[in-house]
Amino acid sequence: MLDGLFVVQMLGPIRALVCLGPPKSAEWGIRIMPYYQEDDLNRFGEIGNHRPDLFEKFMAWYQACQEDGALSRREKALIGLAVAHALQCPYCIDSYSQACLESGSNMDQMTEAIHMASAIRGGAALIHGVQAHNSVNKVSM
Amino acid sequence: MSTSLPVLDVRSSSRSEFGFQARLAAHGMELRADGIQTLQVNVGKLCNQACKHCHVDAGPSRTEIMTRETAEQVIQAVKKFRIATVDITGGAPELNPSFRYLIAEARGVGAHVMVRHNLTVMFEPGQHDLPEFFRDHQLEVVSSLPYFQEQQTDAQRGRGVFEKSIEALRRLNAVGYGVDNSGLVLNLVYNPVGAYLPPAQGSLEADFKRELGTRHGVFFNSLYTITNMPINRFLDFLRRSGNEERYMKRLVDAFNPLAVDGLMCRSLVSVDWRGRLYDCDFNQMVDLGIACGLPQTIAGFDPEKLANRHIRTAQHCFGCTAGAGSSCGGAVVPS
Repeated sequence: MLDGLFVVQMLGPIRALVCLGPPKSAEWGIRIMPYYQEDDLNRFGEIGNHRPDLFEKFMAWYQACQEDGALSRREKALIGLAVAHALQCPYCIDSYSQACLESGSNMDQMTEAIHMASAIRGGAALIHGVQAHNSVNKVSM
Repeated sequence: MSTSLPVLDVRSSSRSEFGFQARLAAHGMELRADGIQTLQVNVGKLCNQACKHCHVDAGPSRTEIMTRETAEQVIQAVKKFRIATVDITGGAPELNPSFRYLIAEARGVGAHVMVRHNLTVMFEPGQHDLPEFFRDHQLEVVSSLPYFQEQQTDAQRGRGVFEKSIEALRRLNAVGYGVDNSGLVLNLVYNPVGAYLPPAQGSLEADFKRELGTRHGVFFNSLYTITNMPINRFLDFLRRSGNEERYMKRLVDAFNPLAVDGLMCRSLVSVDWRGRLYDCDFNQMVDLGIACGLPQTIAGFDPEKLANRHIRTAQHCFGCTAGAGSSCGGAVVPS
């Protein structure tokens, strides 16, 4: 029987704490406690409360990466959106969805970027099938 | 050093920081007019559309429109003070019975006249000759088209608006608007279809030209990107969708002091359907009139007294200073 507190892991990052209490009548009482909170993104600067020198170096580098260069801001935002999905980071998905809109991408373009991330993740899993084949071949007659 | 992610600045912005005057003062700035180049005339709230982002709250059921008597006072001011540019807006200004009178009289004294034309009004009864009327009076046409795709346009402006808008653009092109060397200027206006800032004006203009040209065979001169103002119908949307706090924070965090110099309120006076004066069309919609002690109505219009006036501001002013800035002529800081 399920009881107490446990963590549900959904496709990678930890998304929520699910508390399952004892059954109430015929149903289970379930309440979802959000683990990632939207407002926490605004608190990112608090990371710099300790070792601010490292945080400042990170932010300078991070900001420099966003600027127009050999790639445009729009292209970089689409890359960011794709990587955010590959990492399944809710903060980054929020940020880069808006960055894509504000740099002029539309939903068709953003969806293609997400498919690219997903296809590469899928391909990366599938290519490991060769590893499985090798493994099986090694022990097979 | 800024500590902002692409979208949200990590520095906390509480509501107490939403004071526009305080933000100007922090940069050692004060907002004052610098002459009067343009008289922007809002002839009323009547419109054939009811767009979701409309800061005027305009629509087909609105009855507040400028009377002929007030229109005549506007023309008297244009003539007496030789106003260089008259910018006529609404609602759909064409639906005001005094619209063609205003145009003819203002052009008659040589004023440059711009009309904020929503495109679809061309298909309303009695409006089919608008392209020829605009051409004959050599008007500059400024038309809203939030995106080059149907889904986004119709989401903001109503079902079927995109298709009608494309047909209207074809008709404007047919009389020479947007065509090279015709001298007939057709500019488009982009507003974000949601709670985010506009993209860079230059790159979006290139997208619009490519997509509208290749997919629909229509042409225009320039694209103006305009930020959605957190007032009236767009504010209602922000509140209903739970985006108000986040959007205001976005505007405040994106405050750009370089945008202040080019704000439209520094070079125009706005007049409403009743003849009252304002620093801009947005102040008009929140009933924030010209500063006390100055002329308050078009009947008392006096450029000398208004030319260096202190401009009244409110929270929505952050919409005009965010990012590349926003004005009736689009971004104010080159991208």
